Amino acid sequence: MGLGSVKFLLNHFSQDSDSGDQVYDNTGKEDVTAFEPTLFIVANVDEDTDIKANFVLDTWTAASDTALDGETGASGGGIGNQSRFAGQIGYIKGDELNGHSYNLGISTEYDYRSLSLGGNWTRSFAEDNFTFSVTPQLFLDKAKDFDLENKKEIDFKSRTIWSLDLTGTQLLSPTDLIQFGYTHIQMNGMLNSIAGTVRVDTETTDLFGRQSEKMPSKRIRHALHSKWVHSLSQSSAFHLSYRYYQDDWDIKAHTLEWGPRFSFAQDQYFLMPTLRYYDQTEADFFETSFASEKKHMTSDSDLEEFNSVRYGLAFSSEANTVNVFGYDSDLQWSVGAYHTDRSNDMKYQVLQVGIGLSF
Amino acid sequence: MRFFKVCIFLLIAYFISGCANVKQIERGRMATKIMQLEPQPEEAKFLNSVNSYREGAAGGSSAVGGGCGCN
Repeated sequence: MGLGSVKFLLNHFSQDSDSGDQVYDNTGKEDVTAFEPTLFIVANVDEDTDIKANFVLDTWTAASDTALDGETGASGGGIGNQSRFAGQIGYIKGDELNGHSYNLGISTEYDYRSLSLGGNWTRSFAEDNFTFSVTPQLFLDKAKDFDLENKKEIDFKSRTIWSLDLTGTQLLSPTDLIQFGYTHIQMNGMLNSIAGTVRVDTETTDLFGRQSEKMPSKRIRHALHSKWVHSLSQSSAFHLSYRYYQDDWDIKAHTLEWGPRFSFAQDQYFLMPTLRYYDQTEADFFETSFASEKKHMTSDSDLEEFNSVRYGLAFSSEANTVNVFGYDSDLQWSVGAYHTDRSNDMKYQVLQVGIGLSF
Repeated sequence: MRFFKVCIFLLIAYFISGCANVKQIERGRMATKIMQLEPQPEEAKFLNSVNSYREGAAGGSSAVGGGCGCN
């Protein structure tokens, strides 16, 4: 039994868009740059027990936040760099038939706080040909909103999210594995996007004719998801996944992802190109601008009707033995790049670099 | 909602009643990285978060939407 593993993963996210109708100053600029270094630690306690932890420190710059606070904030200089700290710790126990895990997480940033609790229970049936898992999660979050009329932040308001995922995985043949599942998500409380605004033609007091967006205080979401992995040879396979989603905000979405997978040099190297297509309808209270004030209003481009295509490539190297502090360990590294084009004039990229050691 | 409930019931009933059709000795390929449902779980965590705050949908492989003010 090994001692465990440590992995450092650096995520970089950049987004370009001039079409965000929710942006306060009417420029539509939604540019975002974010760095998210993450540390993953796994400690093997015994043959059946692991302790897992991960720690995240995000920093980012968002054009839309800067526009809002630049107009109204006390500093007058806008919000430059923001940051978020998050951590999660988990306990995992499993034997041949049953597995269970529990996790506790926190996250904090200047306008958002989160406490999360989660679990997972898994049981195998039919000589491990079928596995069924139940995954509940609870987020006890708090978010600040922005009062445009009085030009000040509003104190933290609660946002509670709970979800339940039921997933079954079946071995179909020595070369085929399929998975089906359902996720139910319920959100309650302050669901406004932080700093999200709408343009209202009859608005006369605000400099840019804007009001804060008004979301319903409840959202019930459903997702049916499936995945198929098929082996083509000892060193190649492909996966295909599909998800159907709908919620009571009238959004319906289809997600399709496909990609081959290759291993080289006796599984030392791994290559995975992917293609992901996503399509959604708009929320029933979405408009790019409003003739008059309504009970629920949003112009958030993420809730607009659009489709997107993501092209990705991931590569990793496994198991190069090195000596670290007197311990023989396996060194792994990985790189990944993903580019997404959205039909409502947004593009975003993700770059990932990881390095890890298993002891 | 009725559609979802029927789908879930049928899927669970089908899989739990399924017979053992792949023996242990035949599962050599299933242990390889290319056959994992999620071969890069740490990398996927960030990608799934991006999907959940840039899209109206959530659930399945994507994060459920809590934990940060990103969305």
